[in-house]
Amino acid sequence: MNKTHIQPERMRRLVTDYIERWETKPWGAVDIPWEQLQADRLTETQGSAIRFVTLIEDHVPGYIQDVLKHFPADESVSPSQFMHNRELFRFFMRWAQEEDRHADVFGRYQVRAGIQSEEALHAELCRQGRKTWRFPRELPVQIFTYTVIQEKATQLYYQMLGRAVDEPVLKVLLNRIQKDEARHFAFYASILEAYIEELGQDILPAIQEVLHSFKMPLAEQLDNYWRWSLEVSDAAGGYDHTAAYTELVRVVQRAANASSSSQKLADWVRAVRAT
Amino acid sequence: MIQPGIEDAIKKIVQSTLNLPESEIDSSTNLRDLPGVESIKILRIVASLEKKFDVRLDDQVVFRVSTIEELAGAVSKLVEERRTP
Repeated sequence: MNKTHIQPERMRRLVTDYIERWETKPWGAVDIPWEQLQADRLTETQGSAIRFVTLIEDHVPGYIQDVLKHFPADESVSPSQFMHNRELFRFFMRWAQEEDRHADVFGRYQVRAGIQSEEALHAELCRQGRKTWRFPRELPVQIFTYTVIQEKATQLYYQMLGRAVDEPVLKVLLNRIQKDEARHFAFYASILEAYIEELGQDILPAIQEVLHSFKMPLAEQLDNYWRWSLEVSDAAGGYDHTAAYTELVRVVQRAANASSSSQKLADWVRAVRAT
Repeated sequence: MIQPGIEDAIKKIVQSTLNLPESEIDSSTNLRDLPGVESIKILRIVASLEKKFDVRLDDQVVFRVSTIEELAGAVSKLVEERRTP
C-alpha cells in the first residue's frame, strides 16, 4: 500500500461541502424548549442511558487530541499530506464543536430533569473524562472506517431511544442530535468512499481489521461498561451497534463498484457478514 | 471443578437467548461460533447467568471465556467461593 491518503483537492471539496451544509444547520442549548420538560415521564433506565451518552459525548477532548496526532499538520509530513490534513482539520474543529454541544445539552438535561445534581454530574464527567482513549488502528483509512461505524451506530441509537421515550424535551434533543450524527456519518462515508476509489481495493483488508477489533468508544475505559451498555440498549428497545456494519458494507460496495468490481470485493463482503 | 447443574443451566440460557435447538449446543463449542450470535447476545447470556446464580463475573473473565465449559468453570468458582466461610 504505497499511497496513504487521497488528493488534498478532493479532501478540500468534501470538507467544503460539509461546511456549507453544516453552516445552514446551527442550533444550541437556547433552542431547546426546556420549559416543556416533564421529568416524571422519564424512566430510570432512560435516565441511566442519558448519563451514559453524556459521558461518551463529553469525552471529546480525548477524541480530538488523539485524532489530531494521526493527521499532523507540520513538517513531519509531505506537502501533499500536510494539505490533506490541513483541510481535514477544518472538519475536525466543527465536528468537535458539535460533539461538545451534544455533551453540553445532555449535561443540562440531566440537571434539569433531576437525573443527577450538577455537582454529581461534574464529578462523574471528571472521573471518567480523564481516562485516555485511543483509536484502535493507525492508518487514515482505518480511522475513517472506525468513525463511519461509530457515527452510524450512535445515530441509530439516538433514533431508537428517541422513539422509545415519552418525555417531550428529550425527544426534541435526540432528534436534533441524531441529525448531527447522520451528517457526521455521511461525511466520513464520503471520505471512506474517496479512499477506496483512489487507493483501490488493496485497502479492503485494512478496513476489515477495524471490524474485527471494533469496540464502541470508551468500552474499555468506562466503569462497568458492558453491564451499563446492556441497560442502555434496553432503554432504546434492544439496540445493537453491529447494525451499523450493514451501512459500512453499503459504503464499501458503492465505492468499490465505482472503481471496479471484482472477486476481492465479493470475498470481502462475505467475510464481513460473517464477522 | 464445575458444580453439578451449572453447565446445563448455561446451555438452557444459551439455547433460549440464541433461539437454538439443544443439538447445536455443545460444552466445548466456541460461543462466538454459534449461529445467530452477536457480541451483545453473549453479554446478555452472561447477565442472565449472573442473575440466576447471584454472582458477578470479572470483566476480564467475561471477555476471555469462549466456551460453555469455561463459563461454567468461572461461575462454579464464584459459587464455591461464596459457600466457603
